[in-house]
Amino acid sequence: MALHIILLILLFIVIGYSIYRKRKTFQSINRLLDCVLSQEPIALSDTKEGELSALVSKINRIQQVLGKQIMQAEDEKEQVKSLVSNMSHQLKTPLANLSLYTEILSIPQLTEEKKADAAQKLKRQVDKLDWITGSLAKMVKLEQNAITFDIEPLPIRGTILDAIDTVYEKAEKKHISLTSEPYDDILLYHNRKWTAEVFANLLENAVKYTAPGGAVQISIHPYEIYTEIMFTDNGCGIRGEEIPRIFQRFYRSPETEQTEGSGIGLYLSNLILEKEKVKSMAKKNIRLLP
Amino acid sequence: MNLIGGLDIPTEGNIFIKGKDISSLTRKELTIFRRRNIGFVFQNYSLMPVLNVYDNTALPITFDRGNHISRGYIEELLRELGIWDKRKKYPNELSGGQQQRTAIARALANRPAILLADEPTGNLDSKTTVEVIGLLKASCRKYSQTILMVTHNEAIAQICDRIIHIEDGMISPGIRKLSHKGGDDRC
Repeated sequence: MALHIILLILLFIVIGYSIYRKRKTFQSINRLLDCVLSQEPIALSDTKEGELSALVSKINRIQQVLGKQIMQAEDEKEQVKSLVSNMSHQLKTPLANLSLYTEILSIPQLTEEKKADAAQKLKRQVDKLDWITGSLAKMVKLEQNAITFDIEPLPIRGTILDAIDTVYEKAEKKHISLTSEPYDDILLYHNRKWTAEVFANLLENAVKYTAPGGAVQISIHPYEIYTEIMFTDNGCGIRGEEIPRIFQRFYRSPETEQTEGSGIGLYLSNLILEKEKVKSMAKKNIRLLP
Repeated sequence: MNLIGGLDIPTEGNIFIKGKDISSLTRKELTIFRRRNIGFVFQNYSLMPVLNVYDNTALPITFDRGNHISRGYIEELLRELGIWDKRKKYPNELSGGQQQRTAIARALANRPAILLADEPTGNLDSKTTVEVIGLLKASCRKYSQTILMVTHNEAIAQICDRIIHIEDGMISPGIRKLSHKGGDDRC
């Protein structure tokens, strides 16, 4: 009889102890999660054996991942702010020119010649405004992933030729030779229209920043897991320290102040290429196509 | 790589991971830290010959008495690497490429914060290499992992976010690369 009572008491003690332990575990996990909520560092060690330490280690990691995401969100907010201010800056000059030329045109004693000249300059400014707003719209849509375009294995030669067509006149005007090494026409995953636009942008940059009489060359090298398409020019080049920044939104090198440009081209090109899973590198402008 | 993974002790200097000086940890703490946060892919695979593929992959998780095996994730990993149907086989029944893929699965099974890989695609054909690199990249983004890879293959190096050249034991100033929107060189 006494034995039964002793066993019963032991049983209750064991049950009571388990409930107590469970409560304690719950409380410590609760405290850990509170630390995550209030973004406080966790004081417990994550390098001990046992379940609690393993949990601490994992919760530490969650904290870090969350912290990183918060930082990224803040960065994006800042980027949007700077985008808006940049946009208004970009549009200011063409708009100022527009009002200038319309004022000129409203002068009653203007000669026909001067009128035609002003009208032409007016049209150029409107075109420029059109191009800027178009590019900005594309840029925002690409960033928001609102545009999807088809990517298929297509022969690359047609795309390259499309790009050359767009740029040929400008190159001719500056007497810059545009050549390409002979290559086999291979199938690469890309979208013809958008990639042609990217290549055209690269070629335009090459032509813009190369002195008259220079040369621009296109070459293609297939490797085992990707194909490299390289655009080389013998123009003024890009300084080493600037290379990571040239793909940034609106970045223009201080050395290009004399040349016209909005700083959007490379950024837009990089966005498009990223969608096609292409890596861009600049040493002398290299594009890698899988 | 051995130094970062805590397998070797530096004769001089300190190693900081996530702001923590790991040379100040005791051996026991270092082991636990390594087990929970770091995954290894060795060049010679270092698989347990007495365990089959599935058990080899789950091994690091079973060591941690605080952890349980996420069967779904392991199956997903093995399927992605194309060795799910070989899961009951032993290392001596597998080809070099399959053993290497098992080693990669083992390293990823615990979703470690850092993955140290020594020529992880050295024995794989080009198609499998593309798949493995794709898997590593996807895992890296999804679980906010850092993958440190040693390779002699220039093509693979180009796929990475950042390249550090080492010549004769010294870091040589290499080309900084960028991969994010806006040319951000943060990972």
